Amino acid sequence: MELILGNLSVAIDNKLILDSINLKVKKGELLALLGPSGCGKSTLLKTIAGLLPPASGYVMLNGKDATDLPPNQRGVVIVFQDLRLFPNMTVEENIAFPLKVRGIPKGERLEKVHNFIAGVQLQGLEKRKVTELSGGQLQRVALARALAAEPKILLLDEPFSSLDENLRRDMRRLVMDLRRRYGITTVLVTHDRQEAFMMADRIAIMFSGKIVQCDTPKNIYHAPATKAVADFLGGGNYIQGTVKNGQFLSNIINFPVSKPDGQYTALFRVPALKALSPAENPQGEQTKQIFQITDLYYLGDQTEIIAEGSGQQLKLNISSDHSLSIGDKIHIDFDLSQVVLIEE
Amino acid sequence: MKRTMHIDRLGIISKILLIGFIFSILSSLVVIVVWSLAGRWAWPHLLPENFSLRGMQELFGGYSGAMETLFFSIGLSLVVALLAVIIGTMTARALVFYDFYGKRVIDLSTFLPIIIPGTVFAMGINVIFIEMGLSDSVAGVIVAHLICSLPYAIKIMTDITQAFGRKLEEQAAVLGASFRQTMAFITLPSLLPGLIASGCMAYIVSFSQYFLTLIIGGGTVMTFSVKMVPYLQSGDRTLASAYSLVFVCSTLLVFIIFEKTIKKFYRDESRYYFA
Repeated sequence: MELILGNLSVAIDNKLILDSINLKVKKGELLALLGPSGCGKSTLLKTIAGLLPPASGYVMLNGKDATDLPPNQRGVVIVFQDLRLFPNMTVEENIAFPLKVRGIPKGERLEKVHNFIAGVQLQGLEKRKVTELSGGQLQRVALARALAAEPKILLLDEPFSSLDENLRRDMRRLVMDLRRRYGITTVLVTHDRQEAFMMADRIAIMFSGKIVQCDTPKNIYHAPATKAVADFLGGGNYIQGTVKNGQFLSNIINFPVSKPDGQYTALFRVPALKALSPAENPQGEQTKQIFQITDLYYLGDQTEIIAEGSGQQLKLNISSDHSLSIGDKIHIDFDLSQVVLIEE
Repeated sequence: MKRTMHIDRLGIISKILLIGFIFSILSSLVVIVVWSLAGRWAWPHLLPENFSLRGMQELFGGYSGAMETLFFSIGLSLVVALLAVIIGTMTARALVFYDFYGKRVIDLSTFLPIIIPGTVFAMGINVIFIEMGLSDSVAGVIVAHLICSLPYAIKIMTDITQAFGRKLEEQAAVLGASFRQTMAFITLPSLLPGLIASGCMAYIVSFSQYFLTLIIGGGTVMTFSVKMVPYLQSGDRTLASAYSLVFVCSTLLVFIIFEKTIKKFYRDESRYYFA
């Protein structure tokens, strides 16, 4: 089912939480809502599900206005961060709940529940109380219960944030697998950029109640709309400069670009910089300057270097079998194929 | 080491308190049991000089109408308890989940019936009830009892509603449950401990109401308390003890049946999924 949000604003206690959100999620697509805590992601999910009334704007489901439709008639299911399993029911009863409220007969219900339980690999735990399960198992029950509601749109509100790294990877894989199998339009809320890159068809970046950019993971990574977006995606080395007649000019580096004239910030992510000893031949015009190492941080197979020169601090990684120490002088090679120019 | 000693001492203190507590309840119960069967028990005798079934005859003999009054009284208090639970639950939801003008005032005023002395309240409400034609009627007594038991029911339900929150209801709704289904399968089972507690509280407040019943009922509405208190005051300890014993036992029995019935209902309800 296709989801369209038009000029959607939500206020809680007279405070604007969502500010004119426009968003379109295509049928079968997985859209990740990525943003820092408190930016309104969860509020947006609740509004889509009908749990919060919008102050203005509309929610359209499959081309029909659903703004005033009650939550139980929308076919939009949320898996909340705190899972919200029903404590007075067993695993089986939890998963059967959406089937029961739809009036599906007992025999059919039982069969479906067993299919869903098999789908999330919970066989053998049917009769368990939800208080007797581990974190990963609870997550699976919540997912199976959501799927049992046969959602047209599935909303996942940071569903993996409470799991450890290994479990999280398993659950991501399970969700992607289930989505492929059931083809459900999905909106995933997360503040973990890796998770968004890994799972999403498109990513919408949200800051303080506004969507600032919505695009494919690759496009967002390679062309962040603002410095804040770039920062949120990991940041790197920012060099301020100007573009004049197709040339980026700064006190560190100059190179040709195909951008209109104006003020720009050039972003070189950490892997785009390479340290060369002054004895080595610099590979381009741009690396004449000498930088001095001010800090070294050992990270395992790599070492992070902080180097200073011409009033600019740069961060880069080198292989840990180096022989550099603080105070050493180096050249820095800038990989121009990886530069990201952000207009100011 | 120091810490274990500290815990040990706490354990001993709590045990002493517990034993003292149980003793104070049981000893007075024992005295009531003995008194209800005593014929003559004067000072300085440690035990009654003779035993008599006068108290039991008065209660169960059929001539005093004590049993009819008891059953009527239980019925009346059950109605009060039921109404108090329903109104209390709804008031609690309004106070916890909704914002409206004058919410603080209503929140505070739910306590008024406890703050205002019983006699003042009884005299005042009697005048109003006479004007409304509710005086000397069972309905009037039920309403008056209800006003006294609501603060407890509301307080208990507000606390549990607050603790329970709305999260599971939201989840049920997005899973497709209608308002009624959410109430039946999610909200009521979660509020169950509170429903039982506030029901019991309202029942006991109503069942033990003497002065208010006497004023509003005007003698035509005869509850067990109204029948019992004159014996307590007149000093006929055998009859007073017999009445007290039935008072305590009937209340306990009602509580047990109340709790068992509700719990059984909801266990069956949840079994209904696959049984």
